[in-house]
Amino acid sequence: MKTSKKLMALLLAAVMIITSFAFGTILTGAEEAEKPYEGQTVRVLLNSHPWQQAIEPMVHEFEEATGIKVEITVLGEDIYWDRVNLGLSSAEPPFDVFMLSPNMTGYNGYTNGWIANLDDYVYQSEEYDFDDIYPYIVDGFRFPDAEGSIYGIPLTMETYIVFYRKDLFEEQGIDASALETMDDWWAALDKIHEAYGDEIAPAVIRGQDETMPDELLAAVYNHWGDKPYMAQRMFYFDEEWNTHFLDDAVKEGFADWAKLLSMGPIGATSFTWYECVNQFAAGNAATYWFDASLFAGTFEDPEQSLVAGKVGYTAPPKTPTGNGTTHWAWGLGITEASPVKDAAWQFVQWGTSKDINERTATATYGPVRASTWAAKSEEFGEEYCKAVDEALNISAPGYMYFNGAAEVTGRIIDAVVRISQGEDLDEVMNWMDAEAQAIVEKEGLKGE
Amino acid sequence: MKTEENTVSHTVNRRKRLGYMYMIPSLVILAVFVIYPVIYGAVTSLYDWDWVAGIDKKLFVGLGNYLQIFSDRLFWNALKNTVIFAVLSLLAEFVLGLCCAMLLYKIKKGGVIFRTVLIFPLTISDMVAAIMWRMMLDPASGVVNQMLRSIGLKPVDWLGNANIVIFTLVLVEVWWMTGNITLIMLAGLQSMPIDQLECGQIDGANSWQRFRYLQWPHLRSFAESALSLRMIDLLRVFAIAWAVTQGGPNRASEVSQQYIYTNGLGGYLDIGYSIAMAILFSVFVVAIVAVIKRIIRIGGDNE
Repeated sequence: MKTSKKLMALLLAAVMIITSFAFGTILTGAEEAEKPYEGQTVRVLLNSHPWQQAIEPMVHEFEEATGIKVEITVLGEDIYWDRVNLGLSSAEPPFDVFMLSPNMTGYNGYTNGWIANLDDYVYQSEEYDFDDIYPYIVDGFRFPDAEGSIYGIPLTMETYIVFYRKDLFEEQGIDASALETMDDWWAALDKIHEAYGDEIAPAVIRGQDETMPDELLAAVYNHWGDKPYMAQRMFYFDEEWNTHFLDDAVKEGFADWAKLLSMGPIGATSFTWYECVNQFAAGNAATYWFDASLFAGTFEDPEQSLVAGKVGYTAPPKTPTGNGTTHWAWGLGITEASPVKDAAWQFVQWGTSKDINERTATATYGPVRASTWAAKSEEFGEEYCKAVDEALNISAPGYMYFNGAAEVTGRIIDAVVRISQGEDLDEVMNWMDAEAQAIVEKEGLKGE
Repeated sequence: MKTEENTVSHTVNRRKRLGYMYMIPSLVILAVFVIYPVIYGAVTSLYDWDWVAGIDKKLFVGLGNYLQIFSDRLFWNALKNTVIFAVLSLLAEFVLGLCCAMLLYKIKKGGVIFRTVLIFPLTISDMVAAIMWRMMLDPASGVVNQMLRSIGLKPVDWLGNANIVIFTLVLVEVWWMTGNITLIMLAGLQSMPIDQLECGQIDGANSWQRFRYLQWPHLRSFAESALSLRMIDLLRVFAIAWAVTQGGPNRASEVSQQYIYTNGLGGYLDIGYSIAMAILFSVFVVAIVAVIKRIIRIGGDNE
């Protein structure tokens, strides 16, 4: 009996040891399956942006869930693009994931094979629900070729709207909701100028800012009507690369912008979006034109703004040809040369997931998922949601890229500044047209 | 006798050889980091190498890039702005720097404090100085215009007025780098034997005569170094223009380095063309410095 008891005990012990080993193996095996990229490091380069500020404190969740280490570098926008271009063009880019926009960087990256194709990744996980991201925003991140492969996943979007001070308009007895056309608004701005003189500028708008030509597309599209145009050349060049800077819509768009610029506070010519936002948030301007909807997040935050709760929003007012605006987006891309592409995708997928899109929405005021807009409509306020919705309904993607686009946009800034400083519109636009013509000829695009 | 001579020449030769051998490490470093890039750059400047069109598309165009520069109005505009900026800054910095050096040389007490105040801006990087001034000169909310307003003057559009922007850049540059000239000139003054000055005083020379005939001849070589070094630096201006005015409005303050950078890695990625401009610009800088040295020497020979 005793021996059999001893034997039983021994057997039991053996069984227990064996099962615990087996169980342990199964457990670690399962863990490994859940964390297939454990121990890898993903280097992420981010532009200083509300989304970046919101996401950084959440990154540890991703690290804990996947075992992937994330190294983030943040740069100001003024040097961000240079670093991205430089990094992408090197054989070993110093980052795996980076923020990008549908601009020349994407186009260059595509032409030179520096940016990874994400087509095979986006439908890997059902839970990710890629189709929940607005397709017209995704379209901005497709390569300009027949397949239209995806090279970036949108994370925030912005459409260009008009911001105005409800309190000042009320004080002057102007009913902003009744202002329908551009002419109505010009009259209102004159009235504001008469009332507040030098104290509060009637308008503020981007000046000497290398990103200004992107927003200017909205002002031009506001006059464009329903004429056709080529997506990546926008309103300025046709199929044969003929220039269209003498088109009435283009001239009107430039003229509107220059007029608004001349109505700005002292020094407005040198304003980038940063100064514009500061001036409007400090209460120094009554309106802020054709700029990114997401700035509402700053204006409605009492810690950053003196005008919180006093800001009204509207889509661009009508011109004789109707109205229109453009939109823009930020996304995440992966470098083609990255040694940890799959782990990098895990980060991109997490950063653009439903959960994160919703949790960063308050910071960005421009989520890209339909589900997020539905969940956040109350928080964003009725007027803001209505203005963004109206704007997106009349919006076209404002992306211009071709060989020489950067040079053309440089000349566009010169032209707008010159018109705003009182030079003759026709004369400047003739110059602009000739310059653009020379650039496309130099780049060998004409007669391609 | 003969053997002795042989031994001597042998030792000399050995020493010479040893001397050359000591130079090898620095020659290698020079070759890798200076000579090779310069040659590579010079060769690349003969190609149309536009990364937007594709990094692997490199087309030999001979002197095409250089010819293009001659009809590039914006290049010449930037060069004009650079020269105006450099000449104005150099004059202001030299006059101010020399005055400060003379004063610092004269004062007996508190020299350390004044020297620290003058040298402080030198310790700041150009980008920091530029961003700081951009904030202070912000026409709407900057402290400079607020001060003007508080004493009843009209605010000035420091960054957006085409007629003012170059002077704005000169102001920032002079604030930033005047101490540099002060230091060199002060070193010059202090290295001069004091008895010469005392003799002058005893002989009845007034302070202008003492400066003109005793101190200045001694300072000339210091001035030559200070002016040439500063001129090279000033012509290479980049960060201040880039961060304070971004070259605006309408390119009224766009400088050469900025335009070259925009054409290359900073924007258009037209690498061949931007290198060609950079090479032409370097030749220009060397020529200007040679002219400055010449002027100072001629000034010296005439005496």
